[in-house]
Order: sequence, then C-alpha cells, then structure tokens
Amino acid sequence: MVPSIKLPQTTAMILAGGRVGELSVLTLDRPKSALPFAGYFRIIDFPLSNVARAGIQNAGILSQYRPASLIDHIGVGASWDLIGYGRGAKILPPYHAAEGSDWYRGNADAVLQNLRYLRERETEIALILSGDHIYTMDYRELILYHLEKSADLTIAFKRFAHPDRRFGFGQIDKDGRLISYEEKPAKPASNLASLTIYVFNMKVLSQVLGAMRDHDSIEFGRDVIPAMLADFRVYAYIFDSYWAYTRTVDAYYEAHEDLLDGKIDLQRWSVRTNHEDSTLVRQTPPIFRSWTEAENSLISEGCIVEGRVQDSVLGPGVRVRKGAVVEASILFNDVVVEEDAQVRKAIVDKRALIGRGAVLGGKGERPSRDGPVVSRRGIALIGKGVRIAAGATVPAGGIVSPSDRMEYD
Amino acid sequence: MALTGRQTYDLRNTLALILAGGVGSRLNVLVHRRAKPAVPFGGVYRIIDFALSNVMNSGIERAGVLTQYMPYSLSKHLGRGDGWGMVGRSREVRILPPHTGTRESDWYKGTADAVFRNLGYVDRHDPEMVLLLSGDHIYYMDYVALIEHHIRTGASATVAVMPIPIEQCSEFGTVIADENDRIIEFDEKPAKPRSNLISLGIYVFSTEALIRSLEEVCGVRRETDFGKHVFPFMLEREPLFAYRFGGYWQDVGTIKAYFDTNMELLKPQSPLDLPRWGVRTNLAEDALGDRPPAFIAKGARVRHATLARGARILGTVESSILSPGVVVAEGAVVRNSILMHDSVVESGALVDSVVADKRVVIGREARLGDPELGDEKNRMFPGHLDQGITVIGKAATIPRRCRIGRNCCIFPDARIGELDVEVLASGETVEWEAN
Repeated sequence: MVPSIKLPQTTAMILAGGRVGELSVLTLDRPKSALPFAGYFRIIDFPLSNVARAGIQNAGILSQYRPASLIDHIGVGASWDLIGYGRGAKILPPYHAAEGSDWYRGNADAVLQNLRYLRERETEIALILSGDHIYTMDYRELILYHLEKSADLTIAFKRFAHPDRRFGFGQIDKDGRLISYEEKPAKPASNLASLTIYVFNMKVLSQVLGAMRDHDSIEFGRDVIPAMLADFRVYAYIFDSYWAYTRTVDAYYEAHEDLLDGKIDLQRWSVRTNHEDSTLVRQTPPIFRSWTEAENSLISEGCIVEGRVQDSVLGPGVRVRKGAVVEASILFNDVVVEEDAQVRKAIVDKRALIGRGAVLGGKGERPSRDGPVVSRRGIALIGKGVRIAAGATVPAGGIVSPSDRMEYD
Repeated sequence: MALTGRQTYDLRNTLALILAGGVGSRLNVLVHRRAKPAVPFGGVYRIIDFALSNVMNSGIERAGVLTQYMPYSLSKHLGRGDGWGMVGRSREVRILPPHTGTRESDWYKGTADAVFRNLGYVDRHDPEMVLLLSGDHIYYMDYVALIEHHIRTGASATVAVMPIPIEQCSEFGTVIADENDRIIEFDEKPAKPRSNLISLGIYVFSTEALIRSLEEVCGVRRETDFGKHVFPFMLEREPLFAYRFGGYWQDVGTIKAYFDTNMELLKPQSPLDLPRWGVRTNLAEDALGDRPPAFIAKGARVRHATLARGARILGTVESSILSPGVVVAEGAVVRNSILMHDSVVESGALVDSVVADKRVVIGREARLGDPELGDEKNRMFPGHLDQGITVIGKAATIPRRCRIGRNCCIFPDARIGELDVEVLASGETVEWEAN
C-alpha cells in the first residue's frame, strides 16, 4: 500500500504560558518558553522549528503569563514559515467573553477556550505541545503512527533511567496502547514518562474537553488522559532521542552543558529563531582582543571578550573585561563582567553588571535568606539588570533578584 | 527650496538608487562569481550593506538597486528588504536589472544610462529628490545632513566630497569648488590634481533636474556616464554644490584595500564602528541567523580576531576575520587572514595572509602563505596581488601538505589535487575552467 503523503489538516497548539516558581528570578517577567537558550535562541524555538519542519501551517501559542517577550519573538511567524495565505502563528491570550472573562484554568482549559481557533482552521488533528522542551522530532512520523493505530489520542513517551517525578507515567500493552497513566505519582509504576506531546483527533478533543467544561480546572495529564483510557483509543509513541526540559534551574543549566557537549546540535536539528527579535539579535560578530583564554564556550554576536571564559555560554552583547573570569556560567544578553570579577556556576540574566573584582558563585554556603533550595547544584542566579557592587560576593546558589537592584553587597 | 522657519522636508520624498552593477575586477577571484557590492565583508556583511544601512538609518524608505553583473548573490542577499526593515506597502528595496527596452541594446552602458533606463521607476515613485549611491564603499553617512545641505544651497545636484592627500587624488574623480562649495569643475582621475576633494560616489539630485539632464545627455546625445557626461553637462546649466564629508569612507576596490579595511575592524577604537553605525545585513540569507554562536573548543587559542556565528575553532586563530561556519581544526593555525563562509582548515594546516572565499577547503598540514616560497608579485595579475596576500576563489580545494606561497591566485572551484601540484611558488596562479 502506498502510504498517504498528505497528512490530515494539522494545527499545533503550543502551551507556552506558564511561569514556574522553580525558575525563580529567571521567569519574573517572561514565561519559561521565552527563556533565552544558547545565546540568542529561545526555548520555544525548538517546538516551533519542529512545527516548521513538519510543514504544519498553523500554530496557536497559548500564553497568559507576561507574554511580551514571547510576542516579540514570535513576530509575524515568518521564521517558521507560519506566514502567508492559510498559514499563521497566533498568540492566544485569555479573553473576555460575553459571559465573563476567564484566565486559563489549567493547560487543557486553555485549549478548550480556543477550540474555535482550531475549528476555524478546519483542523482534523490538533498537535498539542509544550513550549519549553528541547528536542528535535519529526511530527509527521508521530502523526503517521497515530493514523496507523487509528488512535483517538497519541502521546509521546520516553523511557528514562532516572525519571523526574514531575512527569506523568504510563503503562502500555504490546500494541503500544496506553493502559494506565498517572501524573506526578509518588511512586511511578513505570519508567515511561510523557513528553507532553499530544496528537488528538479534533472531534475527540472537542468532545472530551466539552464534557469537562464545568470543572474548576482541567489539566491534560491530571484529568483528560486518565478519563480517556477506558472509552478511547489512546496510544503511546516511544521517542528515544535526546529530550530535555527546562522547568528547573538545574535542568536549564544542564541543557546548556549538553549544548556544549554537542548533545544538542542546533544546526543539525535545523532550529530556527527570529532574526528580528531585537532583544537577542545582534549583527556584529564577537571580537576577541588579546589572547583569549576561551575554552569550550559559545560566544554570541556583539560580545567583546578580553578576559577568560570557560565552559560557558555568552549571550549577545556580553562584555568580559580584562582579568575577569567566567566559568561554567550562562550569561544572557548585554551582561557586563567588569575587570577582575569572577563569575562561576551562575546564570546571569540580561543587562546585569558584575562590578570590578566581585566574586559570584563557585564554592561556599548558600545564603539563608533565600528560602528553599532553587538549585541543588548550587547555581547562583542574578536577576535582570542587577548591579553587583565592586568587590561584592555572592555565594554558590545565591539568588539576587531585580528588586535588590542597584547595590548588592 | 530653501528650508526656512517651520517648513520641513519629508524624507519619504527621497528615493534612493544604489548602483550595484560594478564588476570591481581588481578584487580578482572575489568577483568571479558576484558583483563587487555583494563581496562579503567583516565576516557576515556584504559591501552593499553599508550603503543600504545608511539609507535605512537616514529614514529613507525606498531604494532601487541597479544590478547588471552577476546579480544572483545580490538578489539573494537583498531578499524582500526585511534585513533593513524596508518592507511594507510603501517601503521597499527593489532590484532593478537591465530590461528589454525599445532601443537597440538592453545592457546598461554606464551609470547614467542605468538610471536613465529606470526613469520609469523614478516616475512611479515621484520623489522630490533622488539619492544616488554607489554600492561599493565602506562608510557611515547620515544622508539627512547631505539632503539638508542640498536644500539649503538650492542646488540641482549635490556631490559628497572628502579631502584626501593630494598625491592620492589621481585615482579618483576630483571636484574643484569655490569658497561657497559651489562646484566649478570636475576633473576625473587627473594626472596632475588641482584639488584634494574627491567625489565619494554619493549624490543628491532634485528629481526634475535629474530627469531633464538625463533626457538630454542619455536620451538625445546617447552619452552614458555621470562623471564624464552628466555632471559636466549640468555644470553649465545648473547650480551644483559639494558637500564636505568628514567621516570614515573607504573604497575597497583592491585586494590590499579590502584586506586592510577588514582588518580595521579588529582595532580597539577603530573608526569602523559597525554597531554604532547601525550596519545591518540580511540574517535570513542562507539562514545565517539560525547558526549557533561561535564555538571555541578546549585547547583552542584565539586572539585579535572576530568569529561569526557557526564558526568552530579547535586550533589557533590570530588577527583574522572568520565568516559563519568556518572550521579551524586542531593544530591548525590561521593568521592575518580572511576566511569566508564554511571554509575549512584541516588539522595541522598553516594559513597566513590569505583571503579565502566561501567553502574553500585547506587540507591537512598544507602551508599557505609560506614565506620560504618567496614574495614575488603575481605574474598574471601584478597589479592586483603584490602585497603578499594569496587569494583563493570560492569552493577551491587545497590538498594535504600542499605548499602555497604569497601573492598566489587560485580560481574558484580549482581542485589543486588533480593538478599534481605540491608546491606553488609565490606569484603563481592556478586557473580553473568553471563548468
């Protein structure tokens, strides 16, 4: 049999809205899907690039948490070919309806409130994705599998040796049919974790979500999937390539380690970004002045490097002045590291300034005033625009939020 | 049209025309496959980006680019004009290639002929002024000041000029002006210069004066050139003024000037300050903007260099400009060189004083710019290659352990390995027939 080469009309819905407390100061004014990654990319570039490669014509982006940077980044959608007749990328914020206004009450509710967006595009298959995962996947294969199994819902899973309990876990039969599913279990029944990639037949999606309309909140993992197991054909698609998520500071940091190790290969994955995102895109290539002691690092456009950089990722427009040391750190755009300052094991948000001779991160005790442990690995976090005074010290795992702005010492 | 009181001029009434048809033959192999304005510069830019960015930064919203020679790179580069924000219903960058007319030959015969043949385009936009630019130069200029000067003097045409040492003037068009900067005479490449003001290839015309002059000079007299024909013609009939420019301006028409001007980028406090100039390029071309940041591996050494997106450095890079995707393998040394997009220097190779076009492959342990091979001028192109720089055309391959001297010239696509050449003495050329 010749396989059908034309897929059913597919519309992507990207769950991009959330802010997670685990990311601390990094998501004070951006949703986690808009976090910069690898210098001048943003996390949402990964699912969007997968969408582009699959030739999907429309993507709705569900966002309710401080979406400004996301809106700027998506732009007109041209970067992912989501532009032109019958195509589009659309940010779908919560809206006022005749019968009152609704913030999204859970990720499935966000989709429920935008079923009309899907219907207007004559959607036959709704591909629901998370905006903050790092992977490359051919969604066409996933959809073909879904069709092959005559499934109502197909969920991508991955086997993890040491799964994080924040995931949802499933058990499958020999045919790949999902027979049990539990979100964030105390004791996972399997090592098969959901990647929050759902292929829904549109009619089933409308029916199932419609039936839950009166619930206080609806989550796919907690409510929708378990409710469907008995009456619908729910299948698991096993994905076994690289996949990472960035919900915690450590996971985000480790994804950058994987980037430096070549496990994440932006070029091979053909990850696309928006070249007109004015916050992140600079034109002039980085300049290295004196002998640069740069090792195992990625250096973005607009950087001027005079000091030492090691095992780090420098975003656009970063300046590392003479005698300064940046080690095992992630610096967002336009961070300045003044002379003789030392930055170790830190994530420094945009436009922060590390004063002359200041010492950041590395070894030492976490300050007690910061509350719960944000990074088990002791990654220090410096918020957007923070100025660390000359000679000041921020210990390992220390967090300086933008409200501490101006002089931290 | 004096600018008085609250009266202002809307810059949107200016149409920019950029002459991008030039061959620029002294750039040798770099212009075998592209016009001079399309030659890469500073890692990620092309030469025309400077004029176009100036247009954009001056608030002029429409530009026509006149092409003729090898326009493919240029049209790919300009795209729809997004790179310069010149998109929308009334904002545009438009390529104007030669087109079939009613007269004998369709190719542009000169700069003035090219503009004359596109007067229809000018008419359609109905601008008050035409800003005519060369796409060949590296400079930053705020054209607003030039246009204000044009309005203030009431000129029919204004020519931007710059003083340079008089002994260098014979290579340029010079301008002789009175104490009010009114132009008295043009003197093209004078053997004995009488003025130290050279024309920068930047002109503002009042549209009516441009049209009536071109109709007479090109339409009736069948003459073709601005410098030789149009300006001398106008001089007898119209007020022409010089606008003195005090900034940085550089013609990069020779390999030496091209090389030196690129290297200016590496100097601290360089007058060539691209971020400040707001120079933009088209990052969507070949998806350049999607390439990851430059990667410097463990053990790599980089000094006094600039590395564009997607570059991967495992060896040593010094005093060099590397374009996107250039790979310098372990143990390789690149020094005083310009390597364009996706060129690869394999392990142990030494590359010194080389300009390599895109996708050049330099094999393991090859030695380029080897000083032991002498420093003779290039025998085929003594006027192009006499400063020690070896040039390598697009996609040429240099085999392992091959030794190449200085002032050598290697044509695009040349596969030296097939020629059984192990040593290429300084001043030699490897020709290669494109297929």
